[in-house]
Amino acid sequence: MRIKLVSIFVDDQDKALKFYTEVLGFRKKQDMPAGPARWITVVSAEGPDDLELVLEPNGHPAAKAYQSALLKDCIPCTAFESTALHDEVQRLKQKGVVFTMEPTVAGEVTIAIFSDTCGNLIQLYQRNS
Amino acid sequence: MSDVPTGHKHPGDSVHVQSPPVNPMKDSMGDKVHPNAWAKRRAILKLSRGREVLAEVGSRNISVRDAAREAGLSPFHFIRRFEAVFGETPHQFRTRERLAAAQRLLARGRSVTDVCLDVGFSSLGSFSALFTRKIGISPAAYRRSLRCSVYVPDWIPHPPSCLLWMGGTDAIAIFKKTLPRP
Repeated sequence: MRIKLVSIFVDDQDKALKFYTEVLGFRKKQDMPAGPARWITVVSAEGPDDLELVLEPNGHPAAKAYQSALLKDCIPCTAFESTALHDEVQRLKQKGVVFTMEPTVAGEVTIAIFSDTCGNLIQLYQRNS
Repeated sequence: MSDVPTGHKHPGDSVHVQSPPVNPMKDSMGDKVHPNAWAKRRAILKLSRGREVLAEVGSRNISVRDAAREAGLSPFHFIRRFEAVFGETPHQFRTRERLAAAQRLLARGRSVTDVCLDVGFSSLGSFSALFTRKIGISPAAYRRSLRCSVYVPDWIPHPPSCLLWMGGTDAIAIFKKTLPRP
């Protein structure tokens, strides 16, 4: 077996799709109706093309509670890797993205944390060579 | 895998220690000290508090001003920071939460008038108009469309990911068969 789909809860799928594509720069892979919600996935332009991030609605009360609790403790719910962290951070800041942690050296990696505007914090990291 | 910093969810994780860091943090230039790292955490906490108050959908009409007070920020700063972090204004967030709550209540069969008051609107006309604009159909039509077909518990169920992945759009039909009848 292999990892193909990873999901992240979002408070509003329209807002999420806009942020993950227009701001972060991912590419929309799937978007189809699923009951009252939609089945939306995005992939990174930097690859791999078949590892999809699912923008999952947080309609279930437990999903909201989970998001809210992590956010309050400033804990990112997932991490994305970059090969040019500082450039990426500058690019995102120019688009108005709010960082809760500036690029910070943490052992073998440099990390930064930002708000995805959908109720999550996301960690961005780069391996220190 | 051990050196990949994904999923920092453990309380003991060095990145998320509960006490202030001993070493000063450095910024993107690598040499400037960041004494505001903890201020940023507090800011998120304040905004989260205000957001939770706004999400309490009920007959109690929480104003944005009340939420700002709860967050310990001036209304001006609250609105500005909220929008930067959550991608919508407090007012837009509250409206979205109210309409989502209205959808849940309507799906359970409550009357449009009751739902309107339950989620904090005082005018049936403005509630119906807003609902229709945002959701695409009127509250009454929404209630009719869902009530007969599916039983709705606390949230509106949607087909699970695995089913959608395997079955594509057919999954929705398969999923509907699995729902309990009212």
